[in-house]
Amino acid sequence: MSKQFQFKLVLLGESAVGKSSLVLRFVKDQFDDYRESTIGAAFLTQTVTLEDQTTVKFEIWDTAGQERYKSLAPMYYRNANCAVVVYDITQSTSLEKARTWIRELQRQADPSIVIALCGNKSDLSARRQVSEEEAKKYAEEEGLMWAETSAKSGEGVTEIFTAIAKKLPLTAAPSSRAGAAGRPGAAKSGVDLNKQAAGAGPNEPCNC
Amino acid sequence: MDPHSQPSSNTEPSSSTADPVAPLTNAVSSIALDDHHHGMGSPPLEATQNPWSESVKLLSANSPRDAGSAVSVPSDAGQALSSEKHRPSALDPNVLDDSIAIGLKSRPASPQLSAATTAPISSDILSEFDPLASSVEQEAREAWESSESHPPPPPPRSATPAASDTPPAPPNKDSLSAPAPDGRASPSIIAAFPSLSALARTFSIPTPLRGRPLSVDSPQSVPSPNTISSFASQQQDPARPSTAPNASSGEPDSRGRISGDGSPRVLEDAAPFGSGTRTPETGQDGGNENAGDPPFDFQKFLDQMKSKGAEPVAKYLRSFLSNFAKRTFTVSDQVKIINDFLNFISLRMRETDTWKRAGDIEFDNAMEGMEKLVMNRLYDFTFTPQIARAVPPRPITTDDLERDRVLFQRISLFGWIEEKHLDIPVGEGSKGFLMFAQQELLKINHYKAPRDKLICILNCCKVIFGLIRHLKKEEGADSFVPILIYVVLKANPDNLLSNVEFISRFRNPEKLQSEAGYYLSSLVCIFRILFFHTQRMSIRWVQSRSSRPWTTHRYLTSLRRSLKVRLRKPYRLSPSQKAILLQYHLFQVLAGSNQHHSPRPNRHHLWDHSRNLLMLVKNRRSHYRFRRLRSHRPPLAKPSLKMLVDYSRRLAIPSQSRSMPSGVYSAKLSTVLKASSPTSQARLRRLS
Repeated sequence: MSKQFQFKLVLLGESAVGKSSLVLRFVKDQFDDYRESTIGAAFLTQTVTLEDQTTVKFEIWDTAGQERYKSLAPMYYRNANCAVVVYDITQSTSLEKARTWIRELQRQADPSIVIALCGNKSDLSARRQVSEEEAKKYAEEEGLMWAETSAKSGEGVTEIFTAIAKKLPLTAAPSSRAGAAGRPGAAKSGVDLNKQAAGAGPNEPCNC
Repeated sequence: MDPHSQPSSNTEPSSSTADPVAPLTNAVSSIALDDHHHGMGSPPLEATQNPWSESVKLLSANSPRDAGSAVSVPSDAGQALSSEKHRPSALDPNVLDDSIAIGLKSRPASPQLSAATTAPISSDILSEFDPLASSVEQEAREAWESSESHPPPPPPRSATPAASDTPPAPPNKDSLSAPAPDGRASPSIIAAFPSLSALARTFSIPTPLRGRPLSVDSPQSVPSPNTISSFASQQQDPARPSTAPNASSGEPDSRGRISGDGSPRVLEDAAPFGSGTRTPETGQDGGNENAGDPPFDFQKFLDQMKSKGAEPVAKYLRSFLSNFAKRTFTVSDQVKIINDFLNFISLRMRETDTWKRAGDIEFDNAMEGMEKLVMNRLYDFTFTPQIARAVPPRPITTDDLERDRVLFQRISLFGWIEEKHLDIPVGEGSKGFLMFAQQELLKINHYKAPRDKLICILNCCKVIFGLIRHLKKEEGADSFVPILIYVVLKANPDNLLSNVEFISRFRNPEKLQSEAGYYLSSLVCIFRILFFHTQRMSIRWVQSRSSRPWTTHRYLTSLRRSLKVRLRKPYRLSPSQKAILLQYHLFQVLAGSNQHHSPRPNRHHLWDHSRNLLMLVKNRRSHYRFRRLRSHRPPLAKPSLKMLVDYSRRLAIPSQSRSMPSGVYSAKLSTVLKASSPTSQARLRRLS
């Protein structure tokens, strides 16, 4: 009997590092007839099947990477089970940005969040500015998962997501909400304006 | 009922993630149909959106009939629940069937959609998207039934012809401003009393007609043909390039209909990816029409409610509704009570003959219907702006309205914003998409059920993705968020915040997961920018971390206080100055994208900018415009404001102003204030 798990994955990183392409690659690679998300590529889902036939369904929340929308991120990584922080190996500044994201996640996100650092555009290694060693060392220091990927060629994409799926605590049952036609009581886990508003204060990283 | 139930089961196999989608398309279609068959909501929109298409004419043909029926419907709607249940059905056969039939015919009539596309469609594709054909009927009926649920159905007949006929001439600005009034008008139409509401509706019809069609029309008609055709051709290229010409004619159809029944269609068009998706999309439309398995079928639910087996459920419902109306509850209580009731009734429903053997999907449909029914009936008690409109006044237990006002005002201040300020790529036809997205968002006030409102938001997002794809940009939040901000700023629907609150309170939490949750969150994010981020980014001294929403008053007070302190200069800001300062800050956040990198604006910085802005305003003689900013949607003159923006951007930095004696300020100020009120002049005199 296969078990089904569902996790929220948030995607962070500077704009133009290829966050969206990375996920699109991940999502579309396996299913050409991909049709589950009908609205847009900012929210995607993809299911990974592990060796033990456990299926892990990722709900992938993309975030806007531009600096000016940085303060929106907390809304997105709230309640996220895992985060993929993407940088561009041809842009050393993007790694710096990734570091700030990771710091923020470690400070403010759910403490049990699984963070993966992902160096994208490995197909452009000729123009590499971020060495593998550097990134890897950083990831080890911070206890992150790390991989280099190429959204273009697809290299390493599925692997990193599978690795995340393996690392996630498959004991919890975040998938319990799947199915059941009824309403799960008055406890709302949906979007709560007030809560966010309240959270805006202390969570706000930027005072300038 | 049975025949329908099966198809529906096919369509909604997807679990939580898929749910939002299916409902979306369904609801959209149903909504569209609703409108359509009302003769009110959708027809005008359709007409407006694709005046060039034939379907418009067909629709308009329908509309007269619909209109007649529509008028009668509202009155029904207002009546007691029981009457609601029975009446519509009685009406259905005559009126609806006709209109439906027409609608059906009209649809096939739309060129390529039906035939060409149908063939390649796979069943799953069909199931994914809303099947219009068979569902048309029910949805039409549903529309009828739920006519009550739709505040003011736009009047069909005059609207459509007008829309189609009207020249695309009206400039965008007009169009922009126009839709909003519509939106506002519509909700207000709904009166507390059934009879009143019915009356109101009948009267109100004209307004939406005129305002909306025009507004919609102008934007849509001008740019969209290009857009759509190009869009269509782009999408269809791979599969059937030959249809491209048709596409221009046909696609518009689908497009135009979007608002009506078409919304699912648009959505499909906009549906982001999968090469697979693209080709069949139009096909799906056609296919859907033919295949027709309705994912959400309100009418079916109502029919079921009328059946013998459901009598106990109906009894529960009636007593719940009447009891709910007797007392006033706080919002949180309302949420809990309604949730509890829906949980309770779902159990009861399971016990009845009607739903005992229903599959999960069918039962889900029933629960969706129940939610919609309940919320439609309780709309006047739960939707804050509606409570405020209640004739015997009811206590309002939330600050939604206040925040609505602030949000509306904040957004109004962004009238000048353009795509480039948000780094939104502009391409051929992008205006049309943007207008279209705005229209979708504006529809939020046309529906009562949280589900339908949510769908309006999702549709808007879908159109945005359509634009992104049209421009061949990378899909993802990087491009999506700015456009969403832009659309929200431009559309500025009334009571947007109340609507979102309403959705998040009363929509089945389960359905607010995943995709719907994502897009709703994105919208909330934007509110957050407007509410909190603004001050925090540019004005450090506004230190309050409270979660209390900032009212404009509080904001300005703190601003004034801080200015006072900072400048050590006792003076008061005139309203126009307040408005300018406010505008300046908002501008800083959104237009001056690099706030994070630039030094935090200090008093000199701020003062410099605002001074210059004031000067500029004075020179532009648009001072009075700014005074109006305070109170309401400002008739912003774009050129002047654009100048303001450019000007203030070029203005640099504080260093030299640091040494500027305060006397200079007041001197400058005086030149400005000459144009303003006598009192402020007196104040100035006192100062100097």
